[in-house]
Amino acid sequence: MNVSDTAVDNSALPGQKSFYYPPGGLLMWIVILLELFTFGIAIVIFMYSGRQEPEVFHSSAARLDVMMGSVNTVVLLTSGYYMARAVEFYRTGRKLFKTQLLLTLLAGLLFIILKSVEYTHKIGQGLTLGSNTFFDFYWMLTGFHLIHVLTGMVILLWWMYTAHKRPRETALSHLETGAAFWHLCDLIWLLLFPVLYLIY
Amino acid sequence: MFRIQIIWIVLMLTVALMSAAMIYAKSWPGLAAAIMGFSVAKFLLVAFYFMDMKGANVAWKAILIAFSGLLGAVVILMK
Repeated sequence: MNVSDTAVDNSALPGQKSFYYPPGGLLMWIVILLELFTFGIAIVIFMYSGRQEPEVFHSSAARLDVMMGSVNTVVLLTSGYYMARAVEFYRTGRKLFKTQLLLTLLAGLLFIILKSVEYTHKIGQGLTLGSNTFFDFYWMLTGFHLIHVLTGMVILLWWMYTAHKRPRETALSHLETGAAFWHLCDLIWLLLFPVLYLIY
Repeated sequence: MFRIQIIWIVLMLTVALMSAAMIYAKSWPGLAAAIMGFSVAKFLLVAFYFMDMKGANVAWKAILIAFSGLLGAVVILMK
């Protein structure tokens, strides 16, 4: 079953949405839920470890740059905003959708650059994987999230390269699927940011 | 479209509020709960308005609300 095929049926009964139509398609939403549950379980294990080593977690969290994390949150949410606009612009046939998509990618790129600066700073301080339990989680969770952002950028670039070769309805369905994955990165970061940077 | 802009502004304000709370209200005992509450709210705003889940079947909305609410509660309880 093609991911895009699931995004067509939206009318089980009059006034009632089909279960098989979450925006972006059913298969993408199964992926999204699996990803959210995986990160959710990791966060619960992180919290459990924090109870075992409260001093380590408190002192380690104090070494993270809250301002940098906040700026990254703003950048990622702004990319999500442009992504939502890009889908809406394409759906309504407005030509500026490409500009919105490029702004989405630029914000994604800025997030990666800022994260790289933060990583470089942490490595310079000797806070690497293996430093302590907190930084093991920090590197694993933010690293996997960064891989998702990179994957999202590849998906959107692939869409930009191939969209004109497909029928408009198919291209729209693919764009919605790519957008759902991009917003997944927002959702994961909105859970990681407070847990890693703020609450300890 | 206008609604997406409003949601984006609300998201920016909550990020600013959370960062300000970290600086000015660090010793407030309810800070962790407030931060997680705002985070769950942002999570749902992105899911419902940016991802357009508002138009999806109620089962998907229930799953997202249950997941974010439960995770937020677990984080607060385990803090």
